[in-house]
Amino acid sequence: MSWADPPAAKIDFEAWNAAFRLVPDPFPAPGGGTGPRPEYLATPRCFVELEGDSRLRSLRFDNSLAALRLWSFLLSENDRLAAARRSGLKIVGTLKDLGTVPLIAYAAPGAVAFYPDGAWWIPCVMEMSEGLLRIADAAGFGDEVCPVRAALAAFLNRAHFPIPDLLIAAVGACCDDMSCLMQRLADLDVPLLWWEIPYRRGTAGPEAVAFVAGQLDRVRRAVGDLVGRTVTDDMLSDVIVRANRIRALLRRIRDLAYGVTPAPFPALEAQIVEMLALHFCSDLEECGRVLEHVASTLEARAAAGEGVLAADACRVVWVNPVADLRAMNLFEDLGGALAGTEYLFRHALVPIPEDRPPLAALAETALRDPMTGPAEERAALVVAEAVRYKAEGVIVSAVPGASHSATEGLVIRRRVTRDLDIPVCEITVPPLADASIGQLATRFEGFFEIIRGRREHA
Amino acid sequence: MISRHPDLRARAAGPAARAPDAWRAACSHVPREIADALGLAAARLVPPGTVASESRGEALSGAGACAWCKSGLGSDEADHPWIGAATCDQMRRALELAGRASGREALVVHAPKTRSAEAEDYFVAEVRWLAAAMEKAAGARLDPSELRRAIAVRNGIRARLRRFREGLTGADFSALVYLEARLPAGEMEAFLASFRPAPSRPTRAAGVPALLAGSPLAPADWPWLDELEEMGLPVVADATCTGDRAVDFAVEAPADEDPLGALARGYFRRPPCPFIRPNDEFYAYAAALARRRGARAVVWRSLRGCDIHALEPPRAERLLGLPLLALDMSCGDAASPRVRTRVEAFLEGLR
Repeated sequence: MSWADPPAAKIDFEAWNAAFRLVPDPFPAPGGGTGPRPEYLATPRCFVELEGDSRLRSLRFDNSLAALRLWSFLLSENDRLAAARRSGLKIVGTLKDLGTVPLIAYAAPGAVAFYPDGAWWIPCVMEMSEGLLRIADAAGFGDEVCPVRAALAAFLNRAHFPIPDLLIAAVGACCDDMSCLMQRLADLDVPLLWWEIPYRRGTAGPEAVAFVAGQLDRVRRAVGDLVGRTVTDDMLSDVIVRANRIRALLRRIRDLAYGVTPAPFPALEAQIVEMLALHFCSDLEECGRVLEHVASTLEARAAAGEGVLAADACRVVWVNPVADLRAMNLFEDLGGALAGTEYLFRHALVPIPEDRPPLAALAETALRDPMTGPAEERAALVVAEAVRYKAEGVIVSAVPGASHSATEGLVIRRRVTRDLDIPVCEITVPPLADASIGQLATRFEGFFEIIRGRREHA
Repeated sequence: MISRHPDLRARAAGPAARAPDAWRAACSHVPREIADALGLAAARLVPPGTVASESRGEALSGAGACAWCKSGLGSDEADHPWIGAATCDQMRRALELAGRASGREALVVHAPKTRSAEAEDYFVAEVRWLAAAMEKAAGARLDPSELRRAIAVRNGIRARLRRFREGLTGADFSALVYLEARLPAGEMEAFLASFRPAPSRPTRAAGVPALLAGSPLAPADWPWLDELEEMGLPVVADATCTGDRAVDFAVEAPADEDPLGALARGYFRRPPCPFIRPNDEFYAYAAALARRRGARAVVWRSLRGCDIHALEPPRAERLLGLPLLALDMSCGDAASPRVRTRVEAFLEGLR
């Protein structure tokens, strides 16, 4: 049976469930042919009813098969981790480094990695029904702390992901919220290894690279001890090549999603795609297949001139991930389109050098983490993104309570205004933004009016 | 009646060197011995801790920034070039903002969070970079024998401050530490030569002797320490970086060791701030200090916006094993009835 996606559009929860009945079996493979239907593929309703992911009911989704597969892959991660544990794999919980340590875990035979930090979306996805923020509050992490405090609660109630066999915590030039959260996790009965990534004044020098490579060597030995096998340089080099394939796919998708008009992919799904760069949603190989499916879908749409948004949508670079996914829907519903992002893990998107010792290559890449350098440098990334994708404005979505968000918006605003003279809007999106939707909508509308007004006077 | 040293406090709260080439060291992690040896003025910029300074700093940073960093950015001295350490996230971002505001980029070294030998070596390399940058600023070379002398002088000053501790109130000792942080070594030595403190309080303090920990103190907080004492909670030990912890170390620089490396290692090994990971070493220091001074309670004061201190009280209470009062304060809260009521309630609970 051949398969053709319907014309590109955004659909609601009910339409999405109805569309699931049309998913063919065997499953169409990107580029032609068929393959087995992914085991994790399920109706969105399934995730609502079985997992409690009730936020899905309020979202609007891309209507492609690739997007359905992407969502299912994302939402089924806990099942994958549980299956990994049942099959005897060791689970490595990596904290804060966003994109580096998982590669060492995937290089080790018999280990799988994930970021417990990702629990910051649980209060949104489950619409607070899970009580994580209440648990965090009771543990002393109130709403003055970034929503990542949900991760602490998830460790305390042990109800959301398998407790890792080993935690690997990156400290140094990291946000205060995560630093404190990791210190609290160190009190739990989970083995935890600290490693350090230093503040850099500009491009990392050889001393910093050598230091971080040494730190990552400690990580490598700890992971090797966990799985009972030495993690060799060859293993690391191999995983770097595999990760680079994923990163190349991500660059292809970003160029299509942010660079093509009309936008062929919604902001919400584009954000999820970028997030897959961090730990591949616990399955590196399948992650590649999911992304290949997305990329070929977007290429087909771009070739056909199909998009999910109006061609005259306001093109905006978005800074920082939002804790409430619905904000991305709202942004588009009111006339916005993503023209670049800076989600604080640019280092997980860039190619890892393949021409040097693997730990040095990983260290160099880790040191490109925007969190480790001056805010001015991150602002320059935002400017570069705006230039690359011809953005007409920048939205800085401050993470409520996050130490970096306290001052970064100001630096980014000044740099963007100075270099590009395009408007900047600063917003704050709480983990569940329902009570703020009116205020956010007004901010978006006002911002888009400014952009459209500038078009008229250009 | 608690005797005080108004002369000491007036001197400590007075202006530091305002010469155009004078630096400000924004953190006690910066070895000021380098500046001493180069003949540079580098008073520590301890934020004034006033509402006005916090408001001015907020305009330069953001509402969510911590009160300490805001007050520093809003200080009258913020226009000097800053030297500092990337200790917590907020501090390193404040250093970047200070450079933007003054037009002179701050010199920022990384303060390691882990306590390994590799981290120590990395800090040594960072301090060497700082020394090179300061040499450039001074237009002079760092003479190892001058540095060795500067290390010995500051060691001597810190030793004398430690000896004075027992006889001073929490506020007076804080003022003394503050003065040391502000004055060039020579001036501090001259001050100490004539400083004859009358015992400010009995050796066994009345009330419930307390360990103070958490965010650093500003001059505006000294009256609050007096008030604590008057209410029956004398601060006999101060584990903040503006109290005992600031002077509870000596840099060992043997003749056969490069003094710059020895200086960096001395600062790395000093009693650490709670930002280190894991921070057990801080608690070991604070618990030992509390025991040594007979503290029977802990006042843990966090400045608003400072996660590093604000999120620690549950652990602090467990690890220090003493009744703990956690106060979340902003600049200007020192005199607030809210804080006073909390202290009273805490004391009632201890009786």
